[in-house]
Amino acid sequence: MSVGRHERKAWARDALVGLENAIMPSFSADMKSLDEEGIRWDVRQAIAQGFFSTMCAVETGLTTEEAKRFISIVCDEAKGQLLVSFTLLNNSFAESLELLAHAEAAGCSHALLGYPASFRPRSPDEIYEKTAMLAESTNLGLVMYVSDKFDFGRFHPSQVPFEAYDRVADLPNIVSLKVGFGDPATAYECFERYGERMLVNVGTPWLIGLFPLLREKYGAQWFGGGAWEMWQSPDRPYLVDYHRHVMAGEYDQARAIYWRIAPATQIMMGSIARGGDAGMYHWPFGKYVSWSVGGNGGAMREPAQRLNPMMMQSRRMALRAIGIEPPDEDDSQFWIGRARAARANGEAVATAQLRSAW
Amino acid sequence: MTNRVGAGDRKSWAREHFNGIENVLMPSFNPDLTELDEEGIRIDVRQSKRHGFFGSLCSVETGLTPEEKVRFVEIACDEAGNDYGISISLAGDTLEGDLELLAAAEKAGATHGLLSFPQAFVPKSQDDIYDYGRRLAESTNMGIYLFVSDKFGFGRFHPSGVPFDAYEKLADLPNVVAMKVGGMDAGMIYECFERFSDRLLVTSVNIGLIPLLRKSYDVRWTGAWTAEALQGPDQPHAVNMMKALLENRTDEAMGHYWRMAPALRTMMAIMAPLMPTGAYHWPLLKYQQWLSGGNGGLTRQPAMRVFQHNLQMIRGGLAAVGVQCPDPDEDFFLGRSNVARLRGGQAQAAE
Repeated sequence: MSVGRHERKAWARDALVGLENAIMPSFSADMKSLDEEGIRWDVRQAIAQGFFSTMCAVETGLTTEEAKRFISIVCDEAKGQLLVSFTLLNNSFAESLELLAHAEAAGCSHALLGYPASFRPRSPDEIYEKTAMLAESTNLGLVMYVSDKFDFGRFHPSQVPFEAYDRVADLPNIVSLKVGFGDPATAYECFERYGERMLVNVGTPWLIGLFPLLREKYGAQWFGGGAWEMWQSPDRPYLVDYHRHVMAGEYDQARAIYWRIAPATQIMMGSIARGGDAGMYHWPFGKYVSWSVGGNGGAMREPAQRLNPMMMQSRRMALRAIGIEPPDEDDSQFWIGRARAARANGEAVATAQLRSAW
Repeated sequence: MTNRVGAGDRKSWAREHFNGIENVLMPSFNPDLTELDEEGIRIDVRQSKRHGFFGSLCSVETGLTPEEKVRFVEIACDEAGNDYGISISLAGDTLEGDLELLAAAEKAGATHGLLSFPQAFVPKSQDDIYDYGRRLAESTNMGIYLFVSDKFGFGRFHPSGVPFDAYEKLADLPNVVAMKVGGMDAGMIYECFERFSDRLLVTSVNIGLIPLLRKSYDVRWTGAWTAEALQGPDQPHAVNMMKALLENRTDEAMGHYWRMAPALRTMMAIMAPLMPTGAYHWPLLKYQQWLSGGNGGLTRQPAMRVFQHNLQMIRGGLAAVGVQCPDPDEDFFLGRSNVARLRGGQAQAAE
């Protein structure tokens, strides 16, 4: 389905409903090339989890060509069953423009706006200009990203350059805003300012518990790209169910699920799940979270944060605490990845995935 | 309405009284920490009123003997007068000790008490929790406010750590008036407001969440916490924020919030990692108050230690929101009243 830039706001109201996870690339044993079957595995896994969309994390040590290939593989596997987005957290605006053009042709529907680390705007106008340039280059829907990693604190203490975003919000294909950190007043400002003009989403685990209020007061309807696998497996899709109940106004059922998964939150959200505050995500841990409920797994390229046994044990403990049995496999298997392991065993990858269904 | 009302009138009294911010009072001591410093305590009460708070919670779990706890509360009540609320933390070591403290506090003129549970209290059921709270509540005409905190270890009764069955019953008692939700989990905060807002004045200590909560609930106050971390008497950002919120001037309230955000950020950077310890950093909290004119001074062991880099961060955070302290940090360690006495002046001169 091809949607024009000017129809994107209306499109979003129908299309962006549910949970969007983040998909990370998988690699060959020597880490030199993408593992297509591993990537496809994770797309099928996102479908099995009940997510409505998957966001390709391209800021994972890929060349521009690899990022394009990654997006193409995901779109091909997802076709008709899952929306695909990707992150504009690249090294330059030129790279972002190139990826936007490619992603549109490949079948992506939307993308998460970001700014290169080298972008040091002197005024909100500069933010607006660069964002408008990205938006006008594409028919994709764009999701604004409220994140402290852009270091916009000099424009507003919340780190949100409201002056710029107020104007950006009016661009026709700016469809949503991801609230990516947990400061409640920032979330409030974002929902108040933009709740009527676009789909402000739940973009951080800290806001999960407020989803009923955010739904009621501002019509929140989707969770933006994140490791929502933290709280569920395909057999026990707690968070997807939580979302469904809130959307149906069944708050009591939703709250029961929230408390069912609370032990995992308490274990994971302490010192384990660092990332946002460092301005860089813990890709190996993100992949481990996904692997522990049936994802492909496998190592990530440098530079990456390190994954240690304590973190893996904590993840297993968190799963047990919410009634999900962690994998039988030894953690050493995680580093290989399931698609590669299947090939090494002479087993068809698709068969292996069915066998390992969670 | 007078502060001295019967137990049966406490809910309506609280509705009038709980508007804005309640801070925390910590005791002050003489230089060798062997005795309470009455003048230092009085300075902090006057200072709290200057900040524009509606009341102050006496933190008695600061290394005081039972007699000193009572004396601390008596001094605070005397200085506060009739138009200002003084509450106490019911965070003693035993039920009996807290019953005695509550009786003495009521006599002294204290208005309400924050229900906590001793370390050694290991209830087998929520009935035990209810009975514990009920005995305290029924012993007094003071208001009781419930405390939602993970330090009580009630996770076995509900994953949120809130013993909802017990608190539901306690909430119905005539002098149980309010609830301080001390945790940061959004789902837990939501659940507390949903369940108790019809009967109690529920609040969150997370001041940034209050504008959003007010969309659904009549949140009228926040406390008890050290709001001096965010403001000074001449720059009452947090008090102004709450005032604007209560008068439904929300845009203005957010202006005050963003004005004080730099201080909030430095406070959370230092204090948030300490929250899971189940104890408070009394000396740093006193330092926050001292920077805008509070008495300051250390508290007795056991107490967390003060590091120079923490002082610099807190000072910088407050300076960023317009609260400039001209005094050197070395004066903090003694407290203003001790410093004034040592230098041969009157303690009041410190103010």
